Amino acid sequence: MTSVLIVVFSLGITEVSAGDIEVKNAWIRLALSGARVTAGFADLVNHGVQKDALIEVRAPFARFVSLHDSRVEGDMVVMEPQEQIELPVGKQVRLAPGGLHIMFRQLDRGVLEEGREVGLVFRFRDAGEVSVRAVVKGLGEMTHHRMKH
Amino acid sequence: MKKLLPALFILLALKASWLSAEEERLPVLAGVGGDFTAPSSLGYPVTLDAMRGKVVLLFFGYTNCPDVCPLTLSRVTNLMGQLKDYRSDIEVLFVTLDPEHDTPAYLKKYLQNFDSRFIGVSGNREQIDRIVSLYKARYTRKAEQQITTRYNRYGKSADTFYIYSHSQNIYLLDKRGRVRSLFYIGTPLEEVRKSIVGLVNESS
Repeated sequence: MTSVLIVVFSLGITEVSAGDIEVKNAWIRLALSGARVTAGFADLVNHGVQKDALIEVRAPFARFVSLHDSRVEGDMVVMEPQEQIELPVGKQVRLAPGGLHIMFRQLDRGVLEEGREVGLVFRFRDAGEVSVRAVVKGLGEMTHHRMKH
Repeated sequence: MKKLLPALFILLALKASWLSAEEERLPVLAGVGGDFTAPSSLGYPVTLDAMRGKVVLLFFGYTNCPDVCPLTLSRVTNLMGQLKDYRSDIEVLFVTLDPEHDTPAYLKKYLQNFDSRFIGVSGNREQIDRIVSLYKARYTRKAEQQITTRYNRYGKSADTFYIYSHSQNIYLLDKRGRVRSLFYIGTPLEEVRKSIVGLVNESS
C-alpha cells in the first residue's frame, strides 16, 4: 500500500485543481509519538464565478477525518467542528495552524513519516473530487492573525 | 460577574505584563489558583506544596487536540530551551481536560514529544473540574459524533470522542504556589521568560 502511494504521488507538483478550485501547499503535521490525532492544512483558491465549499477530505492513513476551526476568542481557545469550509469567489482560504484545519484520527502511523508525501482526496460541493499530495512536516507555526491579541 | 471575569483576567494580565516590563515585582493575583492533589505522569499524585521553591507554569489542554495544544506545548518547550540555566527551578504542569483519554501513563508518553520533564496532571473528572474552578478557567466539550463532515472509511460509528474549547491562560506561579501572572499562547516568549526569571530570583 505504501509503495503504491509513493508511485502515484511523486509527480513533483504542489498544485492541483478540481474544476475552478485550486489546492496548494497541502501538508500534514507529523503525528506526535503516541498521539491519536493530527492535523492537515492547505491553501484553497476559488477561481470560479460561483462560491463552493470543501465538504470532505479522505485519507488512506486515518480512519476518521473531519473539518475543524480553532481560534482564540477572548481568553478561550475555541475548537469548532465545521460542516464545510466555504470558498468565496476569487478568494484564497488558508487552512493553517491555529485556524481552519483538517483533523485526522485513528492513524495508520507507519504512513506518516516526516518528508514523505501522502495522498488525500478533497471533495468540493460543486467542483467534485481532486487527489492532492500532502507533505508530512513538523509542527508548523501558528498564523499570527488568528492568534494575536 | 461570570461574564466580567475574562475581562478582569485580561486587565490583570496586561497590568502584570506592564509591571514585568518595568522590572517591578509581579503582583499576587488574588482569588485565582490554589493547591490541589491529582494523579500525574510522574506515577504519583502531585501537589503544588511539593513544588515549593520552584516557579510553576500551569496550563490546560488535551492530547486529542490536533492543532493548538501541540503548538502551545511547542512554545513552552522553546521557552524552556531559553531557560536552560534555570530549568531545575521551574516545573511545567499540563493539566488535561480529557482525563478519560489522558491517563497519567499516556500523558507521560505524549509529553516526551516535548520535554520529558513536563508533568501531565490527570485524575477523574471531579479532580480536573476542581483545578479548573480554582484557576477560574473554563472549558466546553462537544461530541464528535454530531459532526456530519466526518469521513468514516469503514462506515462504522466512531468511538466516543470529544473536542474541547478551553481557557488559553498559561498561569505563572511563584515559589509559594501563588498565581503571579497570566500569559496567552500569543504572548511574546521574551516577556514570559523575563517574568519567570524574575520569580526564580525572588527569595522564597
